[in-house]
Amino acid sequence: MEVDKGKGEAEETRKVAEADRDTVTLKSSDGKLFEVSKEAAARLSTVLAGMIAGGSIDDNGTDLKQIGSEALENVVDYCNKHANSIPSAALISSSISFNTAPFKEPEEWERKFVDRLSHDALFDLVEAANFLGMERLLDVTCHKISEMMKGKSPDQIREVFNIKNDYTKEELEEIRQELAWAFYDD
Amino acid sequence: MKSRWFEIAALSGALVVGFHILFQRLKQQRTPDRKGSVLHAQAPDRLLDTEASPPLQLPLDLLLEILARSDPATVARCAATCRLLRRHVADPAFLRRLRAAAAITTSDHRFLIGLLYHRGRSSSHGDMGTRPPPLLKSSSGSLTNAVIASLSGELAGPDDPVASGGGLLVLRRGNKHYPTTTTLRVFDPVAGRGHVLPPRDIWDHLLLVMPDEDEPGALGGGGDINFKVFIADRDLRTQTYSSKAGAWGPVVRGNTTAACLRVPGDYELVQPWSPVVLGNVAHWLYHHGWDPGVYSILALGIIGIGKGQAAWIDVSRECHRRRRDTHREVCRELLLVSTSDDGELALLVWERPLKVSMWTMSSSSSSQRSWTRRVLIDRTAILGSVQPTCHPLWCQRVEFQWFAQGSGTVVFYMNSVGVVLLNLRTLEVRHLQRLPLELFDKVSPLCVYELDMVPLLLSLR
Repeated sequence: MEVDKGKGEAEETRKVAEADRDTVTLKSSDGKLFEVSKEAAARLSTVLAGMIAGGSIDDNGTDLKQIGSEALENVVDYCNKHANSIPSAALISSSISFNTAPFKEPEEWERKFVDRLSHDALFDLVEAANFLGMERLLDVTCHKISEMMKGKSPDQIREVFNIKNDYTKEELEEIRQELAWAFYDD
Repeated sequence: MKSRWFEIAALSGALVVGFHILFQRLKQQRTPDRKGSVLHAQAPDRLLDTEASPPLQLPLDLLLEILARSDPATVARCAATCRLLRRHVADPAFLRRLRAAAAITTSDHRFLIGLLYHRGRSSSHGDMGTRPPPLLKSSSGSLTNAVIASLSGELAGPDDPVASGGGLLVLRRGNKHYPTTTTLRVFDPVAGRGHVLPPRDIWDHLLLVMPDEDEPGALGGGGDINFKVFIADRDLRTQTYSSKAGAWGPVVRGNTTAACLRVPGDYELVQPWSPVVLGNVAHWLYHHGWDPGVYSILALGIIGIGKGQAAWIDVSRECHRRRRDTHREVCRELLLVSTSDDGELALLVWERPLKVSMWTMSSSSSSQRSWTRRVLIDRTAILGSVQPTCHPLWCQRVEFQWFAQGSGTVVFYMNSVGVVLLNLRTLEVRHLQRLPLELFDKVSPLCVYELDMVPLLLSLR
């Protein structure tokens, strides 16, 4: 798929103006514009940070053709909420040490943030977070989906993720025996 | 406009390229209308895997991201959904990730902790002695119930639990005062099966059991775990039993300097006897018999090329000086821990009047180690979480009992309170059970069992 056709040459001239603004404008696949604080975008997304540093941010809306407006709205919402909550370096740090773990538990507001999302919105958001290199948001959304899967049977998991069963009956029986400990709750 | 993408890629490095490629893949996989859900609208994506696979709701990479944050039972059920997931879940790199994550995430109790008591020293009636029933951390799920039943049955027998690791328990049968005549047995509470080890050539002064991740698979199918049992005597000769080989390996002495040839005769192993394992090296804490204030840590290579290699790490006298009771010779006011699953070695110390501090060692150079101290929990935090049956002033006796590395839990005993768990990651203090002091005196020491489900996934390979 081609990305971002037709925008272009004027970019260089905009770079100077860009540097002075404290927000960036992002454009979803369906053409909606969203503003987000430059500081938050750079802090939370490695991809946006790279684009800001490289001056490839478009004043009229940086095209993110891979992200739908609903997901992008959630991304921007998350960035704003994150800026308002206690900004802690520990949250985005990936160093393994005593209290700053690679997978940190979501905070209360983050839980609420993902709890209100539908399945589809959540899946879209997880992909957007991955695409934008938003480690913390990826953590929070993956954590939420992981919670959703807890206690689900293989059939239910297949349905949620659209997974096609390619095991034979005999193989399935064999797996069930091998992994009997995981099926105790059934 | 491709050029922009190249520009970004140049700026942000391969990361962006990775995302871009991933995204291209993703677009190909996605069904246009997700609400219709189970329609397999598009052809299998060859990029995703060499074998044909159905279009997933989420790209495989993201599914694995999610699974890396899931509990092992969920991971196992996902492996039962399709071949592609099974293959990726059984990948050693994924299992390592899962283990690291499981050791860090705290919201679920992925590990069950059971405190398994030894029988008391032979009682006056000459019977087997008393043993309190195992204390098991309550946790829902029928797997844990099955494991508890299995452990309880095992402990009703004559054997004493002596070590645990990787979800396995080592039990010793026979008179522990004549260690070479005793028999070791490895018990897997999940499978409910035991494995008696043949006689060993050296005394097991030090002992540890670990899952054999190089040799996964089955003893006899049915999800049995392959394991290794490592032992070392006071001359620091080592021997390893491999369940795969079904035999003890040769007695090996590491290529160490003369100073580390043996455990000096006056060194006493400080309880608990379970080591802190970091990478390929296990650590035990020793106390110098002739001086109550001197402690050393033995670092011993347990697998790989460094196997049998030993080094002594001196513990700063500062750690000792702040102890609550500096006069007691053999004390359990010091405990060796690790800061996270693959983290740093650290030492916990009970300090006056009632607080726990953690000493970490800078590992910059072996000759000039420096120790730094920070207070983990203080008197208020401790007394706020436990309800002593008498005035706090009487809570004089406090002893560390165990460090459960899988869950990062410190077990300690407190007079007039009982058994208390301290989670090193959350610093949550949890009162487990009151235990009368008389009983405690008789049954010490104990062994802690942690359920580790990650090795169980090895049977998928």
